[in-house]
Amino acid sequence: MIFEIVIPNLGATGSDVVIDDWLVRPGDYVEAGKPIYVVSTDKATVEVEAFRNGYIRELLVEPGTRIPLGTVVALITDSPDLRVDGFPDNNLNELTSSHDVGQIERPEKWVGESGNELGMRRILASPLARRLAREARIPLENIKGSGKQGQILRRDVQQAIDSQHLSKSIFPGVGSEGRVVSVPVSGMRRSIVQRTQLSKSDIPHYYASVTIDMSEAKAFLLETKAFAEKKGWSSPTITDLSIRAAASALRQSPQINASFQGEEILYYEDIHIGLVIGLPEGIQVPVIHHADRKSLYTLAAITDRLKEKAKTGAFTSQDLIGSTFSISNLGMFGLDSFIAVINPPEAGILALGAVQQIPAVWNDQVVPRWRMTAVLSVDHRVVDGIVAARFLDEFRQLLEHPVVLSLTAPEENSE
Amino acid sequence: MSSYAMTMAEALRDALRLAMRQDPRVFIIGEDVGIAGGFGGGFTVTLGLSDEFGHERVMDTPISEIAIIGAAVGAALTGMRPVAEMQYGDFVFCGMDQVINQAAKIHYMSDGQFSVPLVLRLPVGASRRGAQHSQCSEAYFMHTPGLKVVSPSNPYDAKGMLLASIWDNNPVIFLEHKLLYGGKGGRKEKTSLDPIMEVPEEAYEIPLGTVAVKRQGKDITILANMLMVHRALEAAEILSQEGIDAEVIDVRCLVPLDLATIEISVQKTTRVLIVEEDNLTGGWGAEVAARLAEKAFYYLDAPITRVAAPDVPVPCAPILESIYVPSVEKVVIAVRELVNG
Amino acid sequence: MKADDRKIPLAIVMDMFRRMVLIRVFEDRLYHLFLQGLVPGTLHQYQGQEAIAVGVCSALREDDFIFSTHRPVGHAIAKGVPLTAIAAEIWGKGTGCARGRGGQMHLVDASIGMPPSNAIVGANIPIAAGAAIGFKLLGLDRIVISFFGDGASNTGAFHEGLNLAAVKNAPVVFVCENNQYAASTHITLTTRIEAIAERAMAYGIPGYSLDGMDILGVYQSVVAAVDRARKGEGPTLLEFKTYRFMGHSRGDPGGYRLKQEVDEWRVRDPILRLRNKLHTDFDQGEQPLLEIEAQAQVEVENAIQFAISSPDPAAEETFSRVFAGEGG
Repeated sequence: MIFEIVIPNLGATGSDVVIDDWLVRPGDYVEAGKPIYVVSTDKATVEVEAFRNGYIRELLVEPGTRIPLGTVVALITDSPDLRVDGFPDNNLNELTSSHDVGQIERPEKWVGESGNELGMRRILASPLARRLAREARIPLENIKGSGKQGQILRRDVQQAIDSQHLSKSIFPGVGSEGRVVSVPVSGMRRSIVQRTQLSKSDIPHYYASVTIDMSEAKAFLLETKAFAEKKGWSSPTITDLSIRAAASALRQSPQINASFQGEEILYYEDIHIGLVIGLPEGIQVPVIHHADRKSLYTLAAITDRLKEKAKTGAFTSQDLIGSTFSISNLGMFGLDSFIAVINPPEAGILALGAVQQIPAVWNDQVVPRWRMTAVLSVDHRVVDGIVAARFLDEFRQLLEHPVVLSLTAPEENSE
Repeated sequence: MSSYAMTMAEALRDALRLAMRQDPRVFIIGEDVGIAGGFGGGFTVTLGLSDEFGHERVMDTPISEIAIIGAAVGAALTGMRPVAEMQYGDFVFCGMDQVINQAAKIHYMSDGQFSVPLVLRLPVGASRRGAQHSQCSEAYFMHTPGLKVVSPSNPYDAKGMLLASIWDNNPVIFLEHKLLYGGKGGRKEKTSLDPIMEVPEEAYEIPLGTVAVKRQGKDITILANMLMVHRALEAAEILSQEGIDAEVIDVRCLVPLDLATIEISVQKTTRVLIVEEDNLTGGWGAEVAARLAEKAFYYLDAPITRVAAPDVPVPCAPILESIYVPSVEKVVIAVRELVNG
Repeated sequence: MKADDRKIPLAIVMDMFRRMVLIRVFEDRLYHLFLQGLVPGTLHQYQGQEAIAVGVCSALREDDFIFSTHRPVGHAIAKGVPLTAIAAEIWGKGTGCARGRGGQMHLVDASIGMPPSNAIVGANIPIAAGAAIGFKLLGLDRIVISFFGDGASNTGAFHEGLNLAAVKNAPVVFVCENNQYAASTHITLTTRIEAIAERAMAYGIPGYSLDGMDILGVYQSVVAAVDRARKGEGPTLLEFKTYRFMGHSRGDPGGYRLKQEVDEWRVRDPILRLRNKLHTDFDQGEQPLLEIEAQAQVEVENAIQFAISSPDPAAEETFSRVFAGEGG
């Protein structure tokens, strides 16, 4: 069988990338996980691994070529003798068209991030519709096609434009007295625009919050930190503890570890938690895979490494894909609480506020206690109120009794 | 300036008469074209001309398609302007070497030292006579560099374009649809359309390299030629009842092709349907579709579609022929599909 | 015929000799260049048949048309196309008679009555008939020569063309150069009759089968046929039996012919024959003939040098002149 090797969503920008170098040749046998090419996005240079074992059959893209996500860049077979005749064309045809496409951008493709496939879903749209949507700066994934094959037609784009104008007209124009600087939306910002817009327009958000007593957790972390320093390990943080607790809580409330797919809901067996990391230019959400299987010290090591990579922009594609649930911690800025936007196609995101010392009633006395507010946002199509409540309750209990989160030594190979 | 109601056959005859009066170098050559008391060619177009111009200028020949076309080429080389007729358009294949290797290539091969100002008239179209008397053959000639290809749909265009073709210094393949000739003064075809219209009495030319917008619309552009123009117009009427407004363009000249006018139409309507009576594969519709796909791609809201005859020889039985030739209904259905998405 | 030969003016006979020699020297030189790999395209050579081209063209006016074939070099030189233009065309240069578009098989010169020669065997026969009809309708007394080979006499175009010319009394002379072979196929394998000229009877026109190696005989017969045509008496079929000394085209070593046969015909070389005649019947010494031969060598060398050193046609020439009357 022949399989396509497709540029996956590298998380960063969602637009074109450039293959810098091939690390394999046709005929090479690769195992899943072995890096096979190096690709540059707007943000980072990333090595992409093979996602299956097999023999590299054919390399389809020249290094230095600019291509959209979702392009088939190589072919891999599980048998070395298979011929490649009659393989369907990919969208590379656009690059070699005799028509001058210099001014026309590549159409953007929607990224499906279910745990199963790493390929791309095409949006069908007429050439006219694509152009009009591009000119109106409306992502095709925000437009519903009324054609028989589900294709987007001009009338659909027109409708989207009309409803946009409607919402725009509600807000009065701002008279600019001072200097106005215009910054084009591109790169990481563009990606954020698209994802949050999609999330908020498509997903019915439902919120639940809980205030957690963190005094035990703080003491617990002091001890783990001392031990780690002696051992030369990374010290676990509130975030690491929260990840561990959330993962366990997800085990108890697996309905949240899911994704709404229209006609079906996908429930994931594995728990991969995305951690929102803020950067000067925006955010990135690297993923801790199998977070429920990682011990606290392992988690600490992983998150330390991810924070380093975030600073240097050295995420691999594997780092940025596959999350089934996300966590965002803005506690370091002193926020009491905040409400996070779900990261599609996930069904939930947990927002952690600052750990603050406040007077509290404890054993019938008023004493200083450490408190943290956590706000859970869920996709109400997938997660009902009760499920959200149970999750938060479990989460709280685990953080209030952190010993329950078992401690083991960090694993050598943390992935 | 007066005009008469003319059938297409009469309009063509009128063109020939006026041309031959104007220039003694114009002459007619073909089978049964000038015989006294005869047919006036395959479909009465040359009827009566030999009375006025004699049998040298309305020249009858043996059944020798190679020689008819070859002699026309030779005469054209000396400066004459022959109008050669194939009794049925399908017979041109007997003399294809003279059309493709000779007439089309002489000007180029001789670096312009010699030219071939001839017109080759071909009666075409299915008319219940079977596979060898029915083909629409535009595609063969559109594909050949050095030939111009004309296919009028009505008497007014026919006269003006035949005159323009005669005065053109290049070989022109002039297709005439059998069902459009008209019943007056000669053989009447079953199921013929017989368009009659007011045609000016005097000589006038319609420039080659033009198309005609027969009906304005905004929802879809229908391109058609010859008989299919009439089917398309009928379909447009039916569709207008359903609120679909079709623009119909008569592609009356395939080479040179006025793609610019067609492009403007497509930009307006965003949808194209091509209706042709020749076989689907490699028909003229395929060429126009390819050009539009290149030029008008970003204006298309639907795939460029063709309604054509299937890839079979023309069957004879009336019911089979009616399936072969694209019908009004087929056009209507195709338009609905494209407009509704 | 023999007696009549001496009545032909000496000037004409010497000019015939000059042109035959020019053709022979040119074609021989081309062959040597071809063997060295220096000729860019193909060649269809005329050595041995010179008497026909020259004999026919000597009987024509400049504004009479000749329609030639894929083997046109002899006809073109005989009719008066400049040797430089012919050579440059064979080399595919911008100075060729068709500026490189035609090539060796499509030589042309409107100024001396040569429409582009035709590489489709037999195809120019009906065209020639049509041109003759055209001249007649124009009221001119120009006539048309249609050159073709024994091979062409079996095509449908031959049949239709001769029949139409006959029926319309067209002023055309059909000249069949019967060199016994159509490419590699001997005429006895393709035709049951002895002489192609017999076919004239089928069309009701006069036909003559004659010796194509006797240039004065050729000339006389064509003068008569041309005269008939100009008087409006219609077409004639003249068959000249001849031989091509070289292969069919450049790549043909002629393995299908016996050396004995070639040698037999070489003895009857028309140039040698005319040479002898000039000595015996026209009292010419060797000197003027040698001068003509030397002159021919020089002219051929110049023409070939001209061709080789001429510039290529401009790239844009690929796209121009498809249609007439539109500036290209």
